[in-house]
Amino acid sequence: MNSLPLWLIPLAPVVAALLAGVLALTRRAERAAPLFTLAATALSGIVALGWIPQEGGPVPRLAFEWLKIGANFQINLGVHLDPLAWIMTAVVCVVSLLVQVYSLGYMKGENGFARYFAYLGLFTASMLGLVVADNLFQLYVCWELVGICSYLLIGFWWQKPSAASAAKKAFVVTRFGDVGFLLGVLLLAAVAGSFQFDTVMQAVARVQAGELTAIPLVSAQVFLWLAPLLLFCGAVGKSAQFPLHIWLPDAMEGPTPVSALIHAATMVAAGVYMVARLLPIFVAVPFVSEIVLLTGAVTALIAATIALVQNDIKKVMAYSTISQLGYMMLGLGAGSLDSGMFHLVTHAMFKALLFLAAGSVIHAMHHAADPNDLRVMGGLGSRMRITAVTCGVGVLALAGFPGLSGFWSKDAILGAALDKGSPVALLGLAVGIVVAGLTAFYATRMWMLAFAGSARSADAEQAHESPSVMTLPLILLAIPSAALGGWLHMGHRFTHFLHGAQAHAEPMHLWLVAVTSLTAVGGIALGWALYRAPSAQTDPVERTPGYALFANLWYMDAFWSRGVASSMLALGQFVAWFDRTVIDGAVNLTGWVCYIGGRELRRATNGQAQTYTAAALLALVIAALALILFHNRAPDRARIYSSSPIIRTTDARPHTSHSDTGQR
Amino acid sequence: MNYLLNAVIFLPLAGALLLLFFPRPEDAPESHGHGEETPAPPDAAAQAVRWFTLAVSLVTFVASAWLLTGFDIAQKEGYQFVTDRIWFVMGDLRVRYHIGIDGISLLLILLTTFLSVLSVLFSFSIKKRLREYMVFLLVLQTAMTGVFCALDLVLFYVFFEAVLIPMYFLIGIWGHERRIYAAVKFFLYTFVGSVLMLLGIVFIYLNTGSLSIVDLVKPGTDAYMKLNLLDAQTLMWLYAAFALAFMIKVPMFPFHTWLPDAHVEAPTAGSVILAGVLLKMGTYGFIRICLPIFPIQAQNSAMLFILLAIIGIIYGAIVAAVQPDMKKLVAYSSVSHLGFVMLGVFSFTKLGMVGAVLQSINHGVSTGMLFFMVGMMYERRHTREIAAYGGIKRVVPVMAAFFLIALLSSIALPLTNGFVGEFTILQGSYISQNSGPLLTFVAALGMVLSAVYMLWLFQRVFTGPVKHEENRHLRDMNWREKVVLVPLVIMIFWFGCYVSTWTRYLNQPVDELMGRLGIENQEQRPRDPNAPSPLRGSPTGAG
Repeated sequence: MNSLPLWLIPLAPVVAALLAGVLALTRRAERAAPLFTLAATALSGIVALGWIPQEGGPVPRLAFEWLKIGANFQINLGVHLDPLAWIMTAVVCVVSLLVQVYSLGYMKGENGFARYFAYLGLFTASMLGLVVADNLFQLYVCWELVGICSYLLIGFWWQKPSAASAAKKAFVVTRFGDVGFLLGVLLLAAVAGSFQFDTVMQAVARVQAGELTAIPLVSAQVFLWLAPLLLFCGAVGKSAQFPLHIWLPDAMEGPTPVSALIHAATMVAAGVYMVARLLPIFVAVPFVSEIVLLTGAVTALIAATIALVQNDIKKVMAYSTISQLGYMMLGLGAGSLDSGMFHLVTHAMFKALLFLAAGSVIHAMHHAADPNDLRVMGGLGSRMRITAVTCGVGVLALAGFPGLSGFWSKDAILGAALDKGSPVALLGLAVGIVVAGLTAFYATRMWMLAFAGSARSADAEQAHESPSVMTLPLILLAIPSAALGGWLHMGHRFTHFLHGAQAHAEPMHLWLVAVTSLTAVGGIALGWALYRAPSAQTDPVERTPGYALFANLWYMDAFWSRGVASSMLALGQFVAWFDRTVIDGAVNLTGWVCYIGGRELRRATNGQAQTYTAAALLALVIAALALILFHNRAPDRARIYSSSPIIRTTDARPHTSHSDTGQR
Repeated sequence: MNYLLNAVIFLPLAGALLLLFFPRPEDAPESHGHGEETPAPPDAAAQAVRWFTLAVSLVTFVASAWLLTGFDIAQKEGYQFVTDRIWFVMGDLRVRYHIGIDGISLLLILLTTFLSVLSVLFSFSIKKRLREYMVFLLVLQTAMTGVFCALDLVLFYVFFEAVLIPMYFLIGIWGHERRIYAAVKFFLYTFVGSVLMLLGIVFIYLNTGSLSIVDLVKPGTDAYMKLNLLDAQTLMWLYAAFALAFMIKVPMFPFHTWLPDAHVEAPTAGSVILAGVLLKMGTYGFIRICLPIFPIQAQNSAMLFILLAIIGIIYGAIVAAVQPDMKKLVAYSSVSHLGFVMLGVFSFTKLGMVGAVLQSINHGVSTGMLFFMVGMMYERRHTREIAAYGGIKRVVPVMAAFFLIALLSSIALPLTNGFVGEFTILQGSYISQNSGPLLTFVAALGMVLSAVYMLWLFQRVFTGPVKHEENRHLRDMNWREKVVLVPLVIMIFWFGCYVSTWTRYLNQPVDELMGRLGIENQEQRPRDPNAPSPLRGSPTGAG
């Protein structure tokens, strides 16, 4: 089959974004913009549907030489659709499409409607380019591009200083990680002599086997752990892992559909996808995979505890996302590609659903001073039935309620940790079970605060259901949130799709299933019991031990903003002062000395013959003195060189011979 | 075809001479850029000067683009469009008018003519002594183009110094408040460096009897033999004389302090040319003269230069972050970006060199664009203070969009030109024996810092609510300003999306330079345990 149409997957949204951009710039027919981006996203999805990877079939691959310098340096751009890429493509297309439909309602009448869709189109294109990449260079390029789309969309309401600030923070913090990623890419490319994934992984395997030892500039051992850790820096930034997770909650300043698409379902999962894509490099050295696992576990725990005490509906979701991304890393760190990716897929569905439901709530509450505040909601369930029910499905899926999507994938991750069995993996397993309980509790708390009980403000009383363009995507996402996990788990469909039918899939551990199910149900029950009739004044979570720590976000934001950012600023002030006073001061001092010297010397030129004569006399005296001194020193110099016969003969002057005779 | 290169060099000068015969336009009163600007009654003399200058620079640009058609990429070595005549004879001294270009010069010439057209167009808004201003711009263009073509050391020196004179007047007459201080500092500082270079040139001539850049680097020629008969220490001093001149021009830390002053005080077109082209004369000097004529000395000092380059990257970025003045911020960002260029040059890898040339061009385009935009804001508000703005995206959305593009290119976002340059430089530096991974790590931090200061600038100037009432009625961009910026945007994306159009021209000259440095296959070169330690003088020298 001719695979040329595969180019459409990343390129169709680019074209659509450009067209929408033209509409945005000319401010004409802005309402037509979504037509282009929707059609293009659908087209990408349809093309992907036509190339579902068949087992044993060839992996379609397209490439074009983008840059070549010298014989050894070549960069290709291309499309490569193996099962892993296909899964991500499907996720991106589905979520992007539904989010765009939803945005038709959510962003209706917004200033910059076309601009919004242009950015969304650009994001979809970049994300698809990232997913179908078959080389590190393209991965990095698209990685940065999704970053800038995220910057533009977080700062979409740039009039709000907080939004502008959050956008900058997101870009800078992720770029901090990205530099590590870039260096990892450069290192791998320098060793492998290519950016292609397969060549790079072969090179790493050869280094590990001791076949390839001539690694430029670092030793083989160092290379084997340095390269994956550098790459992991990028994933830590992009997937908001501890300690660079601080940007994601702030990113909620963007429009809520954007949070659903970018900051929950797709872009933040790019780090997980990258680790999954290059997993052989990460598992080559055990301690690297343990670092991945531990980072995931720590992130999952910290974020879940913070999510417990948040009162902003989107902040709860944001920390929940961070926590779930930590889960995925935990699975990958346990060496299980399937479980990490499985959770990525199910999480994309239910988290997109949750965010869109939150958006629906916010849309209904938009008259309130802070429409995101859970404390002024309450009783929305009776006024917004579809939102409440679909959100409930999302909450249960997130909580890992037995049978729903999240349950299967979360269990796969914990099972993978158990199968690995190393001390670190078992620690991860324990943390994972605790986090499962916390997740169930805070998800239920959020739902109960929003939908249960009676309205706690006038705005909540007047809320009403969102238009059908917004509820339809909720319903469409509720279906996979409920059922996709089970369907993929049955008969090990997911594993077989990724690795072929012969692949061995680990069976579930029944006792583990029982423990996690009980924890989840326990968390849900506790949340239900505590928040059945919530009051606006007191919140039971305030009584939990460690509340201050959680409410202050484990002091991580304070550390970065007050510690790191402020000291950088102070350093900047100091260096700028140093530059002006010391370095430029030295330059000006030189100039000043010349100027003063010239001015003083100028006094000598005063036109008086006496002065000139005196100066001439002085010069004469100095010259005479110098001559005498030179003459007297001449013999000494001759003696120094006396070993050389030539000097001895030339130095046969009268007074020297006199002294010589005298000595005799 | 050889007349074409001469035409590219001297057309602007001829235009400048003709311009002297134009009637002198009246000085227009300063406008205050708020809201409804009453267009001054059209002054026919001024219009004639403007359009004539634009026509001259446009014709020059077309002529330089024409060079592309006659340029033979496949040519294996040497220069093209060569003219070689005796210029003047003075006793034994025979100075030749010897010009010619390779791919590196070609791209830099295109950059010069390209930015010159835009600068002229931007300078339509000059109110004071318009004719003289345009004359200086055109003379400047001839001198800059000449630098990139000269193949005789004295000719090179003449062009190199000739640049100073029009630039001195541009800053000193049309500059801002502290223009005299800045102009004198700029002139004296760079002049001190080039005088040392002149001494070097004289010394080379006295010892080899040749001034030809071509002969001095070609093994087998008389000049080459004589030059390399000099002892190692003499060669080191010679190299240092040249290197210092170029270091000041680039400028490398710690010789950079003339740059912020000159940039800030210069009129907009002056800043653009200064950042876009003048600084490249320094990097070009390294590539064309220092490295090929003194390869061993360059190798020995590479470590020092790489350290200075990396200090420049980080230092420039840190200082840029805390500047309250937009122009100063951009000026210090230049120090940082030029650090990347020098890192690429002294990595002594093909990738690094190609990246360095690309980054030279890219920096000219993106920093040029930033200076244009700061100039536009200055024309409206008469201040460069960041604090005087805030939230103006609401008032001038088109300007904000253009600024964002320039900014993204400056922070090396993929698909913009800045990324291609920095990526290749970093890859080159990574595999280089001179810098290696550790120093590359430090250099790469410059990419984070650039995002910090640039995005922070954008945030403080454009986003949020409008902070000052007087900014509520700023005029958005007019057609002329858009025409200035659109070509730059096109170049930003052209370089970013498909740089192969331009790298084709760099393969041959960079290969030749690599060969000259004794590096053939740098990608897989094993470390030589007996290699002399950098920073220490070479025990062998060339003699």
